[in-house]
Amino acid sequence: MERILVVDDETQIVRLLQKYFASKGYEVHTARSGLEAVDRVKDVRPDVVLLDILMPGMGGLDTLKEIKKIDPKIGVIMITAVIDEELAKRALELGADDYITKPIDFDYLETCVMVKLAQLPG
Amino acid sequence: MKDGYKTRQQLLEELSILQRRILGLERANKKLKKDKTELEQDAKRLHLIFDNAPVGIYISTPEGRYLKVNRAQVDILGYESPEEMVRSVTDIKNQIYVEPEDRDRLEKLLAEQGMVKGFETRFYRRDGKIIWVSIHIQALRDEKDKVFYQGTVIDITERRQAEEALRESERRYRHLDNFVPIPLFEIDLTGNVSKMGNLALAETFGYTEKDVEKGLNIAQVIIPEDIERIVSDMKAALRKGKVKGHGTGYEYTGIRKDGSTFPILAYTSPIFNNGNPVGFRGAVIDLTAQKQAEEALRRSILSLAEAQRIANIGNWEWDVGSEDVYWSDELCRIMGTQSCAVPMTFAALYELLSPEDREIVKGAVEKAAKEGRKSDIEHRITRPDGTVRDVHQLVEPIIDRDGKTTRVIGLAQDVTEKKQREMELQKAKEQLIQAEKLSSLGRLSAGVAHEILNPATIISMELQLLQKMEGLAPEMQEGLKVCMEQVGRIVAITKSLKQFSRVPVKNTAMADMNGLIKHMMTLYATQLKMEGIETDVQYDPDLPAITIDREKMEQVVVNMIANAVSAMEGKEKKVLHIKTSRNAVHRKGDHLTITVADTGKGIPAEHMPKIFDPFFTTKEPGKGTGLGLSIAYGIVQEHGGMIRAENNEWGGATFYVSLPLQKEGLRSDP
Repeated sequence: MERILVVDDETQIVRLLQKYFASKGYEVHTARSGLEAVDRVKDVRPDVVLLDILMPGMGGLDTLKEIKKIDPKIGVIMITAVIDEELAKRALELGADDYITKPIDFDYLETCVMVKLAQLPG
Repeated sequence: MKDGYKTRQQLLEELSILQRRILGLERANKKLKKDKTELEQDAKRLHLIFDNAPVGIYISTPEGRYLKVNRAQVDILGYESPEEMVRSVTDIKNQIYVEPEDRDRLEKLLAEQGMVKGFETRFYRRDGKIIWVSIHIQALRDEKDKVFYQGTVIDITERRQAEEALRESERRYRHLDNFVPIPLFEIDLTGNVSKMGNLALAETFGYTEKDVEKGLNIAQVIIPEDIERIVSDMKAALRKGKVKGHGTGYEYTGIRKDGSTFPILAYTSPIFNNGNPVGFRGAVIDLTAQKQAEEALRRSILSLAEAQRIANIGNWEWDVGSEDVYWSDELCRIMGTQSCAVPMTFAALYELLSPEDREIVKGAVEKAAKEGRKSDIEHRITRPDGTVRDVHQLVEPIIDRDGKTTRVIGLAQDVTEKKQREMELQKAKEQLIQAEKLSSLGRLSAGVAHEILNPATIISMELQLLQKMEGLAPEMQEGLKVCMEQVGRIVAITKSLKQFSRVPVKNTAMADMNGLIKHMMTLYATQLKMEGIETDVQYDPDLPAITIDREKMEQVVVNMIANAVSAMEGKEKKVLHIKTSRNAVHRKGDHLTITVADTGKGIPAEHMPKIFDPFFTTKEPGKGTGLGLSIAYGIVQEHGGMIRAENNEWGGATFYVSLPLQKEGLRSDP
């Protein structure tokens, strides 16, 4: 079963993403901060991380770097506010695999996740 | 005949002689008789004269007794009768003379000359009062060869008192004369200055009082060139005769003792003696100080005019009730009138004023003239050449002791440039306030956008999950759709807010503004066509390249076009005018201006100050965020430029975006 790690400081968003992907048959893990996300990545080795860019403390871009250090194969899809697209572009330069904008369109997100999973080796 | 006989002839001759002798004797006798009568009459007359003469007559002895005195003598010395006086006075020298030695002096004179006339001395009257007398006296000898005096006495007390008073008056005059700081003089017809010249005269011409006493001639104290003039002036004065008041003053050049010259003013009046001119008397005024004062005044008037010119302040003065108004030269310059030499009138001033401004000025003048109150007014004038100037005036009354306004004065300043500067300052201030407002709002709005976006995201996600549920009633599906649309609207607002937040211009590069606008017009061509909008674009072919953040500037152009398009909604004639130009509207230097004009509804005056405010919109809710112009404003501001709007001739609005062509104009964000 594919493992997804959802990282966002906004509880409701984490809850809704978890609910959606769980209903679609994924193993969903969650984290509420960058630090927690790094721990989770180490523990559960997710296939795809949905990572919010704007978070208090360790931000999305730094977390991205840490995750890619742990395992560059982990797919990271950045979540950014529609008004912060330039940040997402910066994330792509840092090795993010894709990005989606808030407000999140579930159908589009799921497509992105599926595309990423399909790219994963083995 | 030698024999002693006389001839008949001889006898006849003798008889004839005798007869003639008798006749002569008879005549002589007659005469004697007559003489005697006459003598008696003379003696009588003499007695009468002696008794009644108004002068005292007396006969006295060297020893000091009166032998005979007449009535007048008695009266003069206050005795009762001649007899009583002769009896009482036993020692004339000590009883009568106030200064007894005077009698010794008189006697000495008599011994030398036999007669003394007009000897003046003082006598005691019997009552002890002192009187002045004038004595005529002669020493005679009687038949026994004894010396006696015969004299007359006149009481001259009154004359002496008058003389004394005169002397006192002269002393006083002399004192005053020397005390008066004005040089006074008397000259005779040959120009010799009399000793009457006072101290001030001497001092003025640098002489001592003694010099004056020694004698001065007019030729010593007046330059030769003026002497001739003096002569003719004096002749004129003589013709005119006695001068009333101070007469005419004549200006001459005086010479001081040290040779230096100075201006004087002489007032002269001729002196007549028995109707014949004998000289002149008058006063001299040293004009040195006055001339200096005049020069100082002249200079002060000049510097006042200069000050007025520099300060652009003119003044006027009006004697209440008179026709003419005094205008200073600078006022004429302010008013732009040429004819300052002739007296100006209010009518001439009013001609330069519009009817409303005329009322303002008239009102101020009347307030001063009738109510004695001052005013501070501002108005415009139109110079004869048509230029319009702003004038600031202070109008004040000059009030006399009775509280009546006698004069009205005005100070007028040309404040045209000042006003322009004030207006520019005001504009700059408004823009600064606007910029401040936008900048703080910008910082706020970026945060707000994020804060709104997360809840909107959550709502959106919940809605999506609901929409994915099966078996939803159609109205439920419809409701969810509406909700999703509204979320979209919220997101659109956050996007605008984000744009509005002040993200500094960073990607600046030289760009061709004409090319930029052409590109935008191509992008919008279809939309404009669909909206039925004609376009009129004028590119300035000589427009230089400009350093801008191209992406942001495109945003500005888009917002301007969008604003124009929505302003023309519903209008029959829709024309979008766009123009680029290079000009120097700002004093700071060269600018590039983009003009965007529409034929829309225009901007109501009350909206004008608010059109760049964020969220200010006249569109119905949902049609616009009210941030478009605000964003454009912020971006232009970032580029160091200005954006302003005004209503145009087509009833629509025209927006001017001017950007500095120098790079310094670009502002880096803190």
